[in-house]
Amino acid sequence: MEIKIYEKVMSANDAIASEIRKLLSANNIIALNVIGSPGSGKTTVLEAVIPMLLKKKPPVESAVIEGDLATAYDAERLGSLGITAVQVNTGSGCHLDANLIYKPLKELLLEKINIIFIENVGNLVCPSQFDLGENAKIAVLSVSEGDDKAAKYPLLFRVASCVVLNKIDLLPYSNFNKERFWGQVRKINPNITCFEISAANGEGVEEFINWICKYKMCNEK
Amino acid sequence: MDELPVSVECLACGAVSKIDNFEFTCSACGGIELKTISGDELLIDSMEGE
Repeated sequence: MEIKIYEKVMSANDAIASEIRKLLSANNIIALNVIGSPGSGKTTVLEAVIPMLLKKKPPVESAVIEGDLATAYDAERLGSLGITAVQVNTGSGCHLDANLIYKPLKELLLEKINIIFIENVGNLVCPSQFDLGENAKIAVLSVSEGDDKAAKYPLLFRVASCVVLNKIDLLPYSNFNKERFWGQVRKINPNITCFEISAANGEGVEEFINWICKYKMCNEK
Repeated sequence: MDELPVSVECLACGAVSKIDNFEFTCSACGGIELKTISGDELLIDSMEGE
């Protein structure tokens, strides 16, 4: 016997994501979902960006929700910048979903925050498929991962608004072909915004921060 | 499991194209402003039981 269901598999997640979007919008907060492989430098990028946002006039206040299978290492690193950083441990889960961030989100002092960075679990695949109620997804890829990764893992680069190529200070020591990488990225997503940075030495970070500030201005009320 | 091809509508010329290998350009005019009209659904249409 065939039983008709016609239900979106993601409907439960999407309903919570929609609640999150309303909560963020009511507090005039921009949420950015940062996605990339383990070791691509997501946390280091945030360590470079967050203090510089605080130095803007007026200061841009950030908070972070950190996703990892285990440990609070990253929340401790980012908390030491003087901001609120909440750790979410997924156990064996390979991505954050909307339900996992709804509770920690409600515990933040939302009226004091301008931007929430959601650092997803290190993974180039599954996090791309889950709406967390964010305004934009940011893809972080590092030079040491290789220039073929956009072509091999295209979904993230299709759904992201911006790609940050990190660790460009390692370019002289690798065979990473930037033209090949960006060519593949633009085939997947011709409208994507691209940055080349070294979060470790600060190169290119200012341009990325200017994009974040402009994105915030265009999307807040 | 039915897999549907990715189809997009070009916002410039209105043509509908099928997308292969994640290369998102209009097959008629080469436009890049595209609206995905199918292929990203994840739907449980029906189930069978005895």
